[in-house]
Amino acid sequence: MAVLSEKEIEILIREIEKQGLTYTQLQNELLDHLCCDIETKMEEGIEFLKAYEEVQSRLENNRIQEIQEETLLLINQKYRMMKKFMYILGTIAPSLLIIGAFFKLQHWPGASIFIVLGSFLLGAIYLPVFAMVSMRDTRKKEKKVNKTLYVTGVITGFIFITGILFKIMHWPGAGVALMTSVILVVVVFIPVLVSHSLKDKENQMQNFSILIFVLSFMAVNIMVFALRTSKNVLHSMRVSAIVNMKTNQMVESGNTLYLKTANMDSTLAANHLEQANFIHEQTAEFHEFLQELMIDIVKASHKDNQHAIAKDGSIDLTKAHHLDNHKSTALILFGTELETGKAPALIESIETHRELLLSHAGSNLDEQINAMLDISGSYPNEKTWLIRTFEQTPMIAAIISLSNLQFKIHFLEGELLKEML
Amino acid sequence: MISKDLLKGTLKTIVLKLLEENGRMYGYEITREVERLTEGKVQLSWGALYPALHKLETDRLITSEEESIGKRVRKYYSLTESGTSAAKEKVREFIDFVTIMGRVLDTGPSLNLA
Repeated sequence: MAVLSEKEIEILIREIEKQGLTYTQLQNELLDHLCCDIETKMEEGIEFLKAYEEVQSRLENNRIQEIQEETLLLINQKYRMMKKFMYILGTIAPSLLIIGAFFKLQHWPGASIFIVLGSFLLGAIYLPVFAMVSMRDTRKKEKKVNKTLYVTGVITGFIFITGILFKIMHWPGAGVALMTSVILVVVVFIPVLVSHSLKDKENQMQNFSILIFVLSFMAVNIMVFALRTSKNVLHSMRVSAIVNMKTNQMVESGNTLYLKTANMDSTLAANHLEQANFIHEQTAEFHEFLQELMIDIVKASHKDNQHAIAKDGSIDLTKAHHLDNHKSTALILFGTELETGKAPALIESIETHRELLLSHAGSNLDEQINAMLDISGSYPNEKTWLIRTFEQTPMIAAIISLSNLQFKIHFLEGELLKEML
Repeated sequence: MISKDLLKGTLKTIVLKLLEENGRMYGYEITREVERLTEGKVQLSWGALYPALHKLETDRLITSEEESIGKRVRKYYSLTESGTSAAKEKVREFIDFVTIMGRVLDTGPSLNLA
């Protein structure tokens, strides 16, 4: 019996490898088959090269790859693993997202890790794997696979999930991604899906439900845009607080200048001047107390917020994060079980300051002082000023209230100075 | 020549039956044997044979062992226990099928299998 030389076998091996055969078991078998074939022919007296030419037709037109594909498809190795993987991922990814959402709701640390990981698994892994498995299922049923449908579906889904993730994480580019996914859905995915379902009469129910889901997904997508509104509200509040702080500065420096000029005026009564200076000092002290309170609240709102505090004690709200933190204010003012808050000190300061102003002001200013520094309980539900202003209040709102209080004391100081001097 | 479509459904039966009779065979041997038995009327393409062999193997109806012959590796297949009963079952099923088809298509008394 003719046996091929090693050299001849080498040629065949190379020829088979050229065809892109990766499944080694099959590669070995086909090689052996090819060798036997040629050997049989050689036994009939045909030369190697001639015999090789005769069997070569089997290697043409990617036929070997087709065999490999069919074999793999039949034995399902990869496919089975992918399917298993898909089921596992399908359980893990949403669980991570749900845990992340719960953490986020509770403002616990680590929420972002769950959300980012969950989204990544869902968008970058689950979605493509699902598409692959689904494509194989269709092919196995010997139906034509609508590749466009799957490819656009996966791309759109990925962009959408990325957009949602960016939105939740407040990363830049979320809007662009969400907008892109909406456009892709409307312009590409829905037309492809509709044309596919018109052709595919067998799975109309299935395709119909997919269409319904896609449309609902669009609605959710657009709703996410509505989240911007609250962001815009926060932004306006930030601007308002910044304006407050600037106004305070102006009023304060106005008062300081007024007092400075008055101090140089020798015609004024010394005891009046002394009183005025005392009011100014007390106001400055109260201002400082309020400023520290604001700094504490801003700092407590986000771990990076110390960068928003300048060395001179002013607050740069453009650098502050988590403006809607509604726990920081309560934490600073009402304290925890271990630490008492600053609310009593604040109330006391206001009361003392009001008494001070009232004792120095003439009766025509009394009404104004009482109105501006009123901390009694009235609207709504007899809640005290403290509770209704600071309980469950987002950080930025507390800052507005406190800076507003600063404005009031500077304004009253100014009124008093004018009256006294 | 027998058409591929007709062959497709019976390929596994053929393979199982051949292995049942011959014990241990490799791919090329199977094609040769089929050619010999059918006097060249049935030629198994390797595109049909190998996927079927691998499928039977994953279904644990046959097992394989590899033997290296010089630079190449030859893969011998043989029936497992469940493969042996499957072979009998499949052949019986096929004979039933042919008998019934003979009646349906009225091929007359030339069909004498049992």
